[in-house]
Amino acid sequence: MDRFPEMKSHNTMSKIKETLRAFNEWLDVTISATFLSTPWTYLRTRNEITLPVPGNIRHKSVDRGRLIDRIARNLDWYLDAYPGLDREEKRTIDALVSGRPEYQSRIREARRMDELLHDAGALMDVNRDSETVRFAFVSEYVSASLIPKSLLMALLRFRRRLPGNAKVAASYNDYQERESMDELSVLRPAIDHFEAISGHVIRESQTEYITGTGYRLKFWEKTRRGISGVPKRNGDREAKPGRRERVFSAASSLANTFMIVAIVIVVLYSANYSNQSPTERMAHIRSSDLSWVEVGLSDRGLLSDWELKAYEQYERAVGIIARSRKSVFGLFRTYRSKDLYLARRILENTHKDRRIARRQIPEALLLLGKLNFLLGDMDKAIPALRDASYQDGPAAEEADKFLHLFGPQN
Amino acid sequence: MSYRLDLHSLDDLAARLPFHLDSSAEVNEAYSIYLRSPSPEAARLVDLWTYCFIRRYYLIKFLKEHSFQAGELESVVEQTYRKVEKGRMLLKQNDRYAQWVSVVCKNNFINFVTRRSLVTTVDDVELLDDLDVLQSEEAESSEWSDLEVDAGILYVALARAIEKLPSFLRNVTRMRFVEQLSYEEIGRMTGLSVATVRAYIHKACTRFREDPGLGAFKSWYR
Repeated sequence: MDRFPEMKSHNTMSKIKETLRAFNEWLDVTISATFLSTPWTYLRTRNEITLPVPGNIRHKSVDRGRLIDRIARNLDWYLDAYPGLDREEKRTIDALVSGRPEYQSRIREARRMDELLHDAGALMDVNRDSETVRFAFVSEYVSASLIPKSLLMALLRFRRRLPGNAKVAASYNDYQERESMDELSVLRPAIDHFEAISGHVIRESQTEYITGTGYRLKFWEKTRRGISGVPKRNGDREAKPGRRERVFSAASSLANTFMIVAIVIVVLYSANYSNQSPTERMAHIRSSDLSWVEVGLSDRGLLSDWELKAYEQYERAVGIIARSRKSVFGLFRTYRSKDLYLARRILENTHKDRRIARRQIPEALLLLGKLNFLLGDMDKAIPALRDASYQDGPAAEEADKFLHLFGPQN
Repeated sequence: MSYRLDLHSLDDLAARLPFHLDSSAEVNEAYSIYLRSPSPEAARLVDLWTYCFIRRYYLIKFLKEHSFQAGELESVVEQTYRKVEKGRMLLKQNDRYAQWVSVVCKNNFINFVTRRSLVTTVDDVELLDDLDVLQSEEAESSEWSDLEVDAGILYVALARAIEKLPSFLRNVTRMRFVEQLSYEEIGRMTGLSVATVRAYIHKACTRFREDPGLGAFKSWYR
């Protein structure tokens, strides 16, 4: 033994441990005996409640006493939480309410909910796999494509557990092997039977297939149109179209889209066109009305100060008008009136300079005429357009046409 | 036709439903719509679910029992279907149609098994008819859950009830009632104290009591 001193010390340690364990047991028994002798005295002194002495409660430790104390003090709260409690807590509650008629309806309700929730979670319970194995097996075949996500997860986990439970796995495999059994061979397919007993017709055409065993089965083309009013599901198992069909289908849907867009545009243009009078159409400020600024200012190569100033003012007015325009794809044009007023004032102020006024720039006059028309000031619009029409060039021609729309006298 | 072929044949029919066979909330909604406006489409939907549910119920039962005959399956399905068709108009709670059909199936199955065992020993039709009536009456008054067939419908109801809870309760409740973890385990996984976990479970239980989806099954537990 001297050759193995560590073994000697090990033996000593074991003896110490045994002594300690014995002391603990003695202590536990002593404490338990104290509580067993006066179980409810303990509760009474702490909480001043009177409870009948339940015969099935046996306190084995201090913790147990504390648990009873805790539950007894908050019995209502614990009754509400009953289905979510631990087994020991439930047992304690059962014992506490056993002789108290005022709690009977509540405990019954709590137990019902407890059982219901216990069963509801059975698919996830390893200990209840033998109860749920048939359901899990059938779920793989029936209505599987419609399965809710939560149920699918539970069934997947069930299958994953199978190898760990030989008995359940064996019965699961047994159902699989019954494929060869002909017990149900005289049965009609479910669809036939349903149609026969319910009077509903849920399919349109039928195709016959011959099985390997020679049994003639009637399967019906799967068509969702059978049940009108029932929305289509993601899990429809229809035959996939070929590549050529898919290309054709994509092209035709693209063509349909274009056609729809074209029709929408034509309708919008028609609505826009018919919604406006010819005068209004003519009054709209186009891009050409805003791109004339440099035209007619000077062809001498150098701009004098007053020319430069006029140029800047025209440019400013044109910029304001451009920003004031709003439209949807060039249709249904509108203008911010505030900007139009500002642009008109700039143009009018510019034309107050006699040197500019003498120039009679047709584009500037046409723009001023249009601005006045859009602002509803016909007294100013017509003279401006008339002055423009006396000049040469496209702007003068446009102003002339515009004037004719107001009447032959213009 | 083998069991598997019959399962496929039933799936062909059930595939025409817009919801899963165990989605009791949708079934009850479809039945309520049918009662409010009994259109042919609504009637067809209710009948289709009813037939599929009944047939699946008996397929599960026949799968378990080797001695049942194939012809019996068809007749017991039809008998139960007729019973549901006849009795549903007298149903007082329209929002529990799915649960009620399940109960009818269970009771009819008991009658079928009892009657079948007697057929082999007694050849007295009148006696059987009397017995059938008696047992039907007894069976009608009792409801219970049978996990062989109810595991899915109950699980879906629980999952829906959890989904309806406020987000802070959902995870803890799922861990407790679905994963069946202890308070301590939940506390470790979520970082919450055991007291908080207890408080959350208490809140969840209170809400479960008010949940109509779970409430529809309460009559199964007495």
